[in-house]
Amino acid sequence: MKRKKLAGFLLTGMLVMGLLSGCGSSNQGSDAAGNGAGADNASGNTSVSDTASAEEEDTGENIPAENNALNEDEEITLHLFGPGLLASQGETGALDMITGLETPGYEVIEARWNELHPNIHLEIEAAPWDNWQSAVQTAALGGELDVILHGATLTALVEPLDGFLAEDSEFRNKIYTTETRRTTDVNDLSVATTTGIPYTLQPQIAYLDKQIFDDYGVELPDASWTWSDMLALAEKLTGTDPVTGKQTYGVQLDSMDNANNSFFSYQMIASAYDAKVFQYGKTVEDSTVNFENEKTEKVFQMIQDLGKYTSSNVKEGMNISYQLTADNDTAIRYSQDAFTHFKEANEAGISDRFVFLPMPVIEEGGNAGNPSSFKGCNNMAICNTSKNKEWAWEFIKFMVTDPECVQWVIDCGQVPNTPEGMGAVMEIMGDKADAIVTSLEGMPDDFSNSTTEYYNNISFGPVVTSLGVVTHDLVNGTISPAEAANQMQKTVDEYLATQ
Amino acid sequence: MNKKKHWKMQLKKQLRWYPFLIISVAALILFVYIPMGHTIEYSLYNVSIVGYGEKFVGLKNYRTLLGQSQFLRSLWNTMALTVMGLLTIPLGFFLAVFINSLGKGKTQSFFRIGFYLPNIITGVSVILMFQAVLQGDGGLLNSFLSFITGREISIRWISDVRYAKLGATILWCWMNTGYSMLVNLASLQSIPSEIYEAAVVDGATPWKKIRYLTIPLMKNCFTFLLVTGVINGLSRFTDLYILGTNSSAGLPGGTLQTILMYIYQFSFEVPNFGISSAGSMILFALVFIFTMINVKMTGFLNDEESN
Repeated sequence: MKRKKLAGFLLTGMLVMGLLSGCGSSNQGSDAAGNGAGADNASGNTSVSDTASAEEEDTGENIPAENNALNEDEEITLHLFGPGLLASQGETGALDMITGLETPGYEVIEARWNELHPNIHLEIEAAPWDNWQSAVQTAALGGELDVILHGATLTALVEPLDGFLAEDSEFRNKIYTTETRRTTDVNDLSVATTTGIPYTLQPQIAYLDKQIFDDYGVELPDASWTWSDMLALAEKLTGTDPVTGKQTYGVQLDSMDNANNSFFSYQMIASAYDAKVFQYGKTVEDSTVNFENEKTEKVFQMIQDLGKYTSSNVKEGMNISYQLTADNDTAIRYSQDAFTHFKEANEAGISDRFVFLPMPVIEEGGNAGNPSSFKGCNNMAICNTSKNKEWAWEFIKFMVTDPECVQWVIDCGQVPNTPEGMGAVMEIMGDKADAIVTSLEGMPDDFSNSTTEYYNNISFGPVVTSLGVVTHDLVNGTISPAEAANQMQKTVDEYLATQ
Repeated sequence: MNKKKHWKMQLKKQLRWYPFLIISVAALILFVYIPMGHTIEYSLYNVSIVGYGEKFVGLKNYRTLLGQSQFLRSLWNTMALTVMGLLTIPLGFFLAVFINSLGKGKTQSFFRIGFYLPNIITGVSVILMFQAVLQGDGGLLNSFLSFITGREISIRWISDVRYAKLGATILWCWMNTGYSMLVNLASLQSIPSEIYEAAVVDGATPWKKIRYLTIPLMKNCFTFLLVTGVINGLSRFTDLYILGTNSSAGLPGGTLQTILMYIYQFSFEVPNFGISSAGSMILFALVFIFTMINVKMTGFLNDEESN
């Protein structure tokens, strides 16, 4: 009996110890980060990146960039984590069940990297978009993260890249653009700091159905069109097609089936009307936010007016198709992934039916004449707790400029972030690529979808979801532009009151 | 001394079994109470990324929430949707009465399984299917209503702020009435038939039998469904999240944003764990208070104790 009791105690002890040791290891990571944070608080306003640097100094691992020559002989494992193209492609590739298009996996990237740097191993953990921000935070707390996939927005976790870019002007000249953010995590709000480098670019492009235009006898616009032109065309092209007798709709606003992305239209129209809302000071407290102004109401009015010429599916945010198909019923669509849409249409033999145009032009402000600003991308950032920042930077450069990586991006139906890579896209798309080139070349240098003078989804609370709500309400005609502006203002004011 | 010895003996005897309990207790403490303690702790801190600098703010997060119109709206939405969702109890009851009246046999089994079937279908599939049912333009429900009324009806059940709660309740009832029916039916069938026979002898009509016998005798069943219904209603999330275009915004117009969606928003979309933890504690308090009120009012625990 005694032996049984003893065995019972021992087994239980082992189980409990097992459970506790499991928890203990994860706590170590948290403690490391937590201790760093403690140092931050003690010093007042030190940023998280400073914390990371301080930690490295303590451990003697902080090597100044200029002295940190890359050592190819040393065995290192670079840890990559996050969502984006690597996740959607997977390691071995993806197959589009509808179009049948097969695209390669990131094993291509791994193979090429291993060929160039056999001692620097890659450990890629591609995560889905669901809860990606918190997933990345958890991974970063683990303490071994080097490259954050799509990390440019997670400003508290990423290393500012301006220093790296300054030392590597040749690389900067090779690419179209960088990802910048205005945030107190890495700088003061009045300054746009580079937090990531895109390896694909996804400008918004308009797709005009030539057949519907012809059926209604309406002339196609050119690249100098305005949002008012789009509205006027949408009005003319909504109704019963005089030739086919089918119902047609004037316009399809982008991402109406995802409230967190339906701000895209607002972003572009606001840039076109130069409807500034955010005036940045050094801190959130120093900044002013004013949604209740004439220009912003004009933006909301345009969204509401365009909504009148959309299908009920767009209004309800369901069953929305982005593909260009033979049974298309919408005269004007706009969305990202123009290259993918071209490939799909080409595969179906209908690419000639669609005209690709840059988005309507900016009418006011310093960028007048350029297409409305929008920059979708897949980017990479360096985690500020990484112990291999130089190698992480090397990997990012490799991913953006290496010919095989660029080809992989193109094979995946994406536009690479290099004019050289764009040349290859132009060979495939022909004159349809002009819209993409015009959009990329007309993009302001430090433009970012996340922190502009029109929009900010980082420092001012749930702007993204609130804008999703008001966009849907505007399109459905349940609120007025003035009410929408008031609702947005209230969202920000209430959030700022919590700070 | 004797008593002490006896107590020691008892303890020694019982100690033999404690190791087996320790595993459960340790797991409970580690995976439930410690995280819960952390949630309480975070609710008193300003923390946007855990482990990256937390600042103690006392009860500020709670004050902020209770003064924020979005949170108060989500609170109201949660209450309204919870109350509307309780419609599954009477619906389940009437279905159970109907099915019970069919007598034991294949017909009863057919209906019993048929009505319970929605419960075993994956929630996400049901929600996607109901998007087609509740769609404004050409939706099945509108087509049905147009057919029976003889005029064109195009209510946007899930995209119009005036009807969204009703649309969401239709979906909820379809998903949960089967469960309510099954619990009601089990309770109904446990009532001794002699009571009904005696009532018939006394001249009770079918309605009187339900009113004066069935309903009072099923009090415990209703209490159970009420308590679980309120708890499930207060923590409603998935269906409304998907209906609102995979966002915690609670489309349309924020009318379907529940407290849990609000908490999700401040946990994952605009990370502020202090605010979301305070919201979680308010949700916990609400669930606790509602459950206590329900239990107290219905004497559920007293009955259990007396049994």
